[in-house]
Order: sequence, then structure tokens, then C-alpha cells
Amino acid sequence: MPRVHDTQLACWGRHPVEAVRALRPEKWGDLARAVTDPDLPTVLARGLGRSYGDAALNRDAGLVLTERLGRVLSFDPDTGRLRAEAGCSLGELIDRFLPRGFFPPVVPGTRFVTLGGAVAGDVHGKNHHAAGSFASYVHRIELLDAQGQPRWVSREDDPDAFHATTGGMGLTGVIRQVELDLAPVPSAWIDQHTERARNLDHALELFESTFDAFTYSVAWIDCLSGGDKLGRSVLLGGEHAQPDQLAAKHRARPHEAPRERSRSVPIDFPSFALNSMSVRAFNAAYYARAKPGRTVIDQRRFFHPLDGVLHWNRIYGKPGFQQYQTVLPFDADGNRKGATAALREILTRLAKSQRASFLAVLKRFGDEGEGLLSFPKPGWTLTLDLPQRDGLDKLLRELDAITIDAGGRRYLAKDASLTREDFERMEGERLETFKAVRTRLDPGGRFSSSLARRLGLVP
Amino acid sequence: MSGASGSSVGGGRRVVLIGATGSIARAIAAQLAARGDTLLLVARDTEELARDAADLHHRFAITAHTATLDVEHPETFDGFVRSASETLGSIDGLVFAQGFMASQEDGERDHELAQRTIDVNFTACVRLTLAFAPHLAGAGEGKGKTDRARTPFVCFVSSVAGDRGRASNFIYGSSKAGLNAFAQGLRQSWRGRTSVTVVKPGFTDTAMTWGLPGMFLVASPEAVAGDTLRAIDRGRAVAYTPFFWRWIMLIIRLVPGFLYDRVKL
Repeated sequence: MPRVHDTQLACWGRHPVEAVRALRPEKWGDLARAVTDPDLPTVLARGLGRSYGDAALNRDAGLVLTERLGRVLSFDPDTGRLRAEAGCSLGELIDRFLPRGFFPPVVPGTRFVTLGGAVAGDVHGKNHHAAGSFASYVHRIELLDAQGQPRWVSREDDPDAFHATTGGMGLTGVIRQVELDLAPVPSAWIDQHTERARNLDHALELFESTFDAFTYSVAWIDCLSGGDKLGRSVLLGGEHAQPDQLAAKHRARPHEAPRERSRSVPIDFPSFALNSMSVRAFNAAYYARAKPGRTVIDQRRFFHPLDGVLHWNRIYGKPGFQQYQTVLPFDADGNRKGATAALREILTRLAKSQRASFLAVLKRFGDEGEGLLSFPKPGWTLTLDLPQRDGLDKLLRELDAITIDAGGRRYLAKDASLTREDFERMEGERLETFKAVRTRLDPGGRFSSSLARRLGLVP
Repeated sequence: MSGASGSSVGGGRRVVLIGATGSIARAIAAQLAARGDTLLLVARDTEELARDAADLHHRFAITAHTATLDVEHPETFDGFVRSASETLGSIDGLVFAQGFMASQEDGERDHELAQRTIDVNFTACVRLTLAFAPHLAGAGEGKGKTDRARTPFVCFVSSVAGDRGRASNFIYGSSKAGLNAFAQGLRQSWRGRTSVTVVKPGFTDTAMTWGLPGMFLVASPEAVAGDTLRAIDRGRAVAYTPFFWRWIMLIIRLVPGFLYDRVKL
């Protein structure tokens, strides 16, 4: 029997911190024993803990850490189809398969996410408007049920089970293996386009006129500017660079980029370090430094600049922070007016509150995926990092109300504070569909999480 | 014996890894594979071995063979060694990373556990090394690219627990102490022919220590594996990993007996 480690854990936002009973199997036999351990009231799988709130926590119950089960079990270099254990990270796949010309079809803002986590959160990246979410590229998922018995689920064999598992927050069973298609890419480099927007209208206009056409696009917003500078932003667009666009010395081996050394935040910053003054200074510097134009950069710098600074979450100090991501949908006929009004309202509210959000990211989502609880749908998605301080939850409830009025919803992988009532208002009927499928897959209620109990996803 | 074979990188060494499914061994295997070595992974669990071999093959484009062996059954060793040398041809490296640890109390209560600790950690190393001796490549015959890499090697993953017996862990410690003495003598005996290295990890983040109280300065298996490969490459007799355990253990060995007997470690 694998040993149970009673410990305190949090996710990337470091809020909340909860007592959990963790197990870390290294072999399939121990994985099945952990899933069925009778001493644990419920269990949940956890990968690298890069969700922000309590999605990967299971207070006073079992948490099966998948980090030691991340092997690549098959790969077809002709098609890019790969099968690996759930604990395998996208970063590891990039390191091993990019030199051979393959890249994950969807990468979120960190490379330190496991395949299991990417499936359970149905994560999206800067290419969502063009490529959809992670689940679109997943072929099959192997789930362990409450008895520890494995079963492959696919769109063809059991579409309900498959779509309840993609975006299902780990509540349909423990994911043991994932089979997906990696994408062939011409190089390890990105042809990056940068543009500055004076204010929100300018930014949205640039998305529509120019940046929607890029494979990858995103806008970084300065949330402290108000008035006629509200929504001041830097837009980034990217395409995989062709070998002939690279510097001469890299052309012979276009899929190899120089390795960069990671730096690390060694200690918790004091919680006063991030205030509206310091973030305002940072934002002004970032805006001024973003040179409009084109440049070819290493994929790491384009996709995962923050991964270069390990433990960057320590800058928020011991209390941690909440990441808040919402989608404000366009009308059925693609009209952006309502979504844009809601976005402006959120940014105005935020600028008024003078809460420092370092990282505020705006992007346009493309088509809704198939996952029963998947987050993205066509509209504007806004992501905020907000230090955990008094009054934060009140502000977030106000933003939730704006989201609900706009017909939008929240990204569960980043949530730590949504109320069950607001969640039900956002999700409507599809929530009942998800719960019904989940109950069929796990009738005994073996799988649970702190988030699932808070939002009523499990009985 | 089966293998996940494919485009192997030329010029690599042929290395046998005993106890290949443990986390230190997996990290050593990955670092050897990253250099393009050809591996024979050996452990009890056939299915886990097949997955480990597939993983090394797909991630590093090397050939990883597997062989199932229970190191508690020495009567099977001769047959195993014959078939291993048929699979690999002459062998450039042997790494022993198998290990068993019961708690001291359990070992004192259940003597089978005490026996098993010695069989797995000590006896198996002695018997397998002697059985492999005729199949190790001669000095300078190895497949490595550099001169140093051309010397065949034997590496034992031991433990700081073998440096001085402690009340809390002396069954395990004595099995590692026996191993250390065996390796010392072997190194003298095989000088100029085969390099013998003992690696002594301190607390390492493996299934053996996961969740145990009283762990400190815990090293990752990857860090221990990196130090292990460096020690082999440099032909070191003994390497502590992480390095500071050398100084911790020096102090522990220097405590005079009359004092040592009165403390509980």
C-alpha cells in the first residue's frame, strides 16, 4: 500500500491552503491501490498544481499526485499521435518532441501543466480563436473508476463520458493515460507581431482588423489606467516561423532553440510590495518597452515568459492571490456590442477599485468546444491576477454579476471563490447534463474535490 | 528478454540497470538515455519495465531492453546473466539501484524482513557482480566516445546509512555497510580494468521516504542521478549526494564511541 502523507497544500494562487491526504504512486499497481484506499473518504488526481484556486485540492480527503507517472508510451513520428501517462507535462513533450518537429496543438500560459490537468481543465491557449481548446486534439482518455478498473473513453465509444471528462475537473475518475495528436511545426521560433493600443476601443479594433488573423493572439492590458486611457494595452500576435525567417546560424536546425536558464523568486515578497504604485510603474515600463513591429523569438519567450521565473507566485506574498478569468460572449450572430459593454464595465470597476492586477490578459475566444463543462465560448475573455486582500471577494462577486448579466461564465481552473448560486446561473442546463453523466460514471461518489463541493458539482 | 528497439544513437555504451523501476534508477536511466546509451532495464515487475522501456525509447530515441528478475532468487542469476550478455554483447556498465528498507522495528519483529533487507541490498549485489565479471568489456574496449567513458564501470547506489550503524536503522545500514566494503575491495582488485563507484545518497525523494516523518534536506532523484553519472564519469571511489552529506557523515563517524553509544540517532 502506498504511504499516505498528511500535509497542507495549495494551488498556484496559494489561496486557499488546505489539509489533504496525499499519495504519490510510481507504479500502476500503487495508483490503483491509492484510488481504492478504503481509508480515504474520496479521491482526486492532482498534477503539477498549476490551477489557481481549489480545483486540485480535496480537503481532508485523498489527493493522488500523478507527477511520478508521466511516461510516454507510444509515439508515431509519421502522424504525431502520442500516448502518455497523465502526469507527463507539456513542457516535457516540448523538450523531447520539438527537436523532432512536433509541438502541443494547444499550450496554456505555463508549460508546467500535465496532460491529465490539461484534459480535466480543457485548457486553452493563445490560438483558441483559430484552433479551439485542448480537448479538440485528444483522441482517447483512459480513466480509472472507483474500483481502480481502467477503461478507455473516446468520442466514438462513449461521447458523454468523453465530454464529461474533458473540462470535467477530474470528477469522472482518475485519468491514467491520454492519447492526443501533436502538431507538426516548421521551427522552434515564433514570428511575433507587437502593437500598442491607446485604449480599449483601439485594442478591440486591432483584434478585429489585424490580430484575429494570427494563429496566436493576445492582449496585455494595463488595468490601472482609467478615463480615456482605460484598456490601454499591448497586443501580441504570433505565427510559427519558417526556417528561412530565422537567423542564419539557426536555419540548419530550425527546431532547436538555445536553452535559457531559469531564474527563481527565492522568498515571499512582503504583501505591501505589490501596490497600485509599484504595479503602475511596472505597467508604464512594460507599455513603453513594447516596441511595435515584428521580431522572431524563441517559442519559450512567446508562450511562457513567466515560466522563466520559477515561483513567480511568491511576489504576491504569503496571502497569495486569486486569478479571475471570465468570458463575455458575443451574440449568436457574432455581434460584439454586449460583450464589449460588459468588458468596459469590468475594466472601469477594476480601475476604480485601484486593486493592482499585474497580469491582465484579453483575448478573443473562438468556437465553443464539446466538453460539457468546458469554459471557452465565442466572446472576449479577460484574465486578472488579484492579490488576496480584504474586500477582494466582494469585488469578484460584482464582476460575477456583470458576467452573469452578459451571459458569460467563469474558468473553474482559476477559481477559488465563485458561489454555488452564481455558478448555477452561469452554467444553466448543461450543468444538469454534466451531473447526470458524472453520476453514471461514479455512482458511489468516489471522486470529489474542494471546488466540486463548493460549487455543488458532486452530491 | 524483450526490447523496445528502434533508431539507436551510435557510439553509446551498453549499460545494465538492476532495480530499474525505482525512482533514482528511472532518473539514472533517463540521463543515460539522453546520452544515447543502450540500456537493459532489470526489475521484478514486467509490465512496469515495459512501460519504462517504451518511455525511454520514445523520449530519447534509444534502445531499451528489459529483463524480469527477482533479486531474492540467486539461483536464477547465472541464467539471467547469460541471457543479458547475449542481448547486449559485451557490457560497458553495471548499475545497482535496487533497494529494500523496512522500518527497524518491523525488521526486529519479523526476521524475514531483516533477511530480505540483506538479500536485496547486499547479497544480490555480490552475486550478480561476480556473475557479470566475465561479461564486462575489457579496459579500453568500451564503446564510449571519450577515453574515460571507455573504461567499463560498476556503480552501486548505497546509502549514507552504511557509514555508521544507528539504533534507528541498523539492519538496513548494515546491508549497505557490507556493500560498501565489498565495493572497496572490488575497486582495488579490478584496478586498471573496471572502475568501481559507490554512490551514497542522503535523504532522497522516493517512494521509500515519501511521507515519512523526520526527513530533511531531501534531494530529488534527478539531482542524485546527475551526481551519480558525474561520479561514474570521473571514476570516483565514493560520492556523497548531495555533496554536503560527506561532511555530515564525517562528523557522525568522528563522534567518539563512548558518546555515540549514549545518543539515539
